[in-house]
Amino acid sequence: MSRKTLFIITLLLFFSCASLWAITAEEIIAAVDANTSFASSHSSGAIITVDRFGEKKSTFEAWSKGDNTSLIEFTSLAERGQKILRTGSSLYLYYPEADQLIRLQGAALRQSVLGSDLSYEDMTRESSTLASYDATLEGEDVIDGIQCWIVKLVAKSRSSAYPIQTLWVDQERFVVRKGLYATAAGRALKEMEVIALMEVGGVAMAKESRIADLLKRGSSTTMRIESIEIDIPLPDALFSLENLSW
Amino acid sequence: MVARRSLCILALLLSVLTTAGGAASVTGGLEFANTITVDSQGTFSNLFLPAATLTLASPTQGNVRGEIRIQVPPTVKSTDWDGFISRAYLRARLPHGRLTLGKSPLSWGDGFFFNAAGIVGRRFEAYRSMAGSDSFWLASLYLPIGVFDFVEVVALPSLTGSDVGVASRLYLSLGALKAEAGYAYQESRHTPYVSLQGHLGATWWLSTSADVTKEVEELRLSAGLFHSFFLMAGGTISVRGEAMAIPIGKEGGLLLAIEGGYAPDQSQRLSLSSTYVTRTEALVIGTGFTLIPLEALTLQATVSATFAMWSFEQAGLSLSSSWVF
Repeated sequence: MSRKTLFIITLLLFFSCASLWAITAEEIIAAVDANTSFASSHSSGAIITVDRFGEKKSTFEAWSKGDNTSLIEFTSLAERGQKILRTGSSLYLYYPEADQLIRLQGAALRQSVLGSDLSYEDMTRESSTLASYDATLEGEDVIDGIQCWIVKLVAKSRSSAYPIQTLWVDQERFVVRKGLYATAAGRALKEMEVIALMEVGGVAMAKESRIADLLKRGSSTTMRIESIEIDIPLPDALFSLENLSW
Repeated sequence: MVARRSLCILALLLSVLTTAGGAASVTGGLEFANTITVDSQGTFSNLFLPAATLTLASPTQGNVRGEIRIQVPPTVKSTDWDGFISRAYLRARLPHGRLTLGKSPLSWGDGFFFNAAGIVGRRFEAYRSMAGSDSFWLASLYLPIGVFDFVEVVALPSLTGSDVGVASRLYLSLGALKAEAGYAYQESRHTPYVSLQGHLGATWWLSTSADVTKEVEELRLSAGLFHSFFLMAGGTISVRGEAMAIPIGKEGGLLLAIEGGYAPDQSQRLSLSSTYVTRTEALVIGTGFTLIPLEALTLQATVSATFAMWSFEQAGLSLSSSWVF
């Protein structure tokens, strides 16, 4: 039994004693983070963007190690060989057409990834949510017949991409079913909803989710994981500039 | 010379096919561009430029990979193979680095309009743009010295038969700063360069290089700023400003460029740009619209006007499309 599964079971046992203690927003978010953190992973999938001109599909292969290190390589025709390397707060792009390395910083991180509703900044968010946000439990709601907690997150830092987040967390599986991402003034910027779940390593995670940039009219992006392996050995050299520009 | 190069290309092609293990990807590209110009005398001219490319590439996994790209018509007016070959290289991982042999793109320094750090191949073009990075026949050794740092050493065969060029650069990531320092020796010229790139509110870059023989023949300094603004009403505005100063050199002076763009979404972009060269007092103003209506299909329309010594010289309308399949 993996440590993560043990952690989730412990949490569930702990929360089952609801008559003695009520669950807190911090405990919910800690369980969600534990569900989405792997020692390493290798996945493939697709990003499908729909806008006024129709549907565009980009396929990718991705590798991750720990919470802050990942490499994505696009495999679809139009952007074949383009790669994104993220380590810590650094994000590098590689364009094979010009053999060009680009380091993204500041406002450039808010640019869209391949025209989708996802930004590069979305990819650099810390996986330890509680390190960056204060959480409060706002109540309960039902999403697609699933009982959810509503958790409001308020950013501790002014530099956060989404100062306010409202998350609908599945009470059974501790997975986010829906998210609303807003400015400090409360203006909604992005909306995310999970369409399908899958079981990976004994825990639930999103197999397919839809993200809509609310500042773009008539646009939405579906992110679909086709396959995933977790806790596999990956060499450190995979996440280097050498491999990025290979 | 032609026979030797043909043999090299054939060997590379075979290597790409064999390293691909039957899984090589084949990509085609078609481009059509039509430009209509009218000069100050009212004379019209029309130029139609079609182009087709075929790319054969082995998978990016593994320790050996290669790529061949054929372009028709050739990129330069040439009767030998060279103009038809956009790229033809074989890359192999070594215990402490990697080796690239063949014709491969090379992009050093930063800058969309001007790049003082683009020192390789400068003998053919005064100002090499970042976007128009070319491929060169080379043998390149890439030596990582950390996760984000490396040394690159390049040998460049001479196209004139006089001598072989060599170039090298050190690439360092120093916190939020990217630093490059390098040197090239081509056709009896020594060309050192330094390039810095960072972020301070906006992304900035700064480069300098010099061509030295017995004395400094040309000194170049280029700088640029780029920033994107995300509108709450939707869309993005991007602003780019660049300058190149040549205080020492036959074609000295100051070159300025500014470009602003508005993209309501990722499928459309409207841009307005202007470049000015003090030496010739040449001003070019242009506006363009880019549309990506389908996956891998890009349509572009640009209108430009050129003024010399503040007098109208030429106006042009260009329509182009590119499709990858």
